Amino acid sequence: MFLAIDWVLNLITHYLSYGLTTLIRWVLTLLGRNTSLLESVQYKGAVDFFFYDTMKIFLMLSVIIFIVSIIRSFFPPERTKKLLGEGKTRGFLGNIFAALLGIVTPFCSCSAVPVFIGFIEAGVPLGVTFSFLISSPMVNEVALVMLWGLFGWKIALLYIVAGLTIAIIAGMIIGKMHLEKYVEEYVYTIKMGDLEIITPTWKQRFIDGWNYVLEILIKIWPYVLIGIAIGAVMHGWAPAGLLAKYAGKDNPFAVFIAVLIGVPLYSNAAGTIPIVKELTRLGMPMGTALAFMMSVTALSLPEMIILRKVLKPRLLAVFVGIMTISIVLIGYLFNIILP
Amino acid sequence: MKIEILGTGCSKCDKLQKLTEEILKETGISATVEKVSDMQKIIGYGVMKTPAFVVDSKVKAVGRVPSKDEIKKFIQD
Repeated sequence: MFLAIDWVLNLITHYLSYGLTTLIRWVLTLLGRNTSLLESVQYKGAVDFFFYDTMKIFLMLSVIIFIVSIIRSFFPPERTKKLLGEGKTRGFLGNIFAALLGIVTPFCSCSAVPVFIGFIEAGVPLGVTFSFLISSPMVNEVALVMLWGLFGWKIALLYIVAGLTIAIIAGMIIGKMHLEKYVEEYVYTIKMGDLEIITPTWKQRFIDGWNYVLEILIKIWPYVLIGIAIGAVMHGWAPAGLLAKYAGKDNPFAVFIAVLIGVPLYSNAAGTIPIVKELTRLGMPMGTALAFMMSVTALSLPEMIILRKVLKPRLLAVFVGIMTISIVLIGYLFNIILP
Repeated sequence: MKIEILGTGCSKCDKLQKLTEEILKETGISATVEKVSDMQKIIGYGVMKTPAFVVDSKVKAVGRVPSKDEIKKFIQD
């Protein structure tokens, strides 16, 4: 079936490229310009790359976000909170459990504060709460689709495993450090209401899933297009290995610099991953690329500002510090073990 | 009747508020619509995902913008 879809995508790509080229040729001829660019291999490569990857990514985004949304409808944060707060999952197991639940529980940084307060109030240990708060934005469906579509399922799986590992270990360290006093005091005084979990009907799940697909696509489509367009130009014109000298394994600072660049590119996995794919072709090692993508999804200025409402500066600094160090370490580790 | 829209300032919360006001105008039902952005109050309702739709202190929908028909039903119950 995938072969058939691929064949159709290639066919549509062929016609779209042909159409676009005909249009550009017509305009250029009208303006009396030279059309030799359109005959070049670089141009053909870039245009085909653009149409093919755009269609593939949007198709995958629609299908996978829909499936993820259906799965998530079974794990509202209220249920996750109860599962984690019941006390059966203390210690190391709690961190693992929280990181896994972070994948299936719907979360956006705008609800980080209520989720944090809700967890603490329900008796979820601080370290376990952090495991959840880290894995939830990092292992997100958009990043996974982009990685799967552009790098293949092995890299996507590697990203999930690495993300979970960081969430579990960082949460454990924060738990062991006993930083409870660096949570804003008012958090402990809030009494959480008991909300009856409303179980949606299947019809409701499908409607919500479809709405969620639309919501995400409307939000990210310009970034996907821009990202793939830049990637396409690089694909056509930048020779493979161009970057190896600067960002290769021999440069000990490359991972660290990549992580620093990733922080301000918040939540733009959609726009950055197509460019990262081209960067790896130009010689950026996979570990550096993965570390970069993790810093894009996991460390962001807006989320830190939101978390500041519940965390005192010291705990926030510890959180950011541990995240940065573990992402950099994962980057180096993958650079060593991956070919 | 008192309708509360719980939200921390996301675009979906504004959307829900506008939709609610529209429906009240259409149906002619009189109710006060209040936007609640105080975190203590939101958590007090047990809500962790905004927007949430509350009628007379009863939480009707959480974490999504309900459809027009749903909102009508919530109000008329």
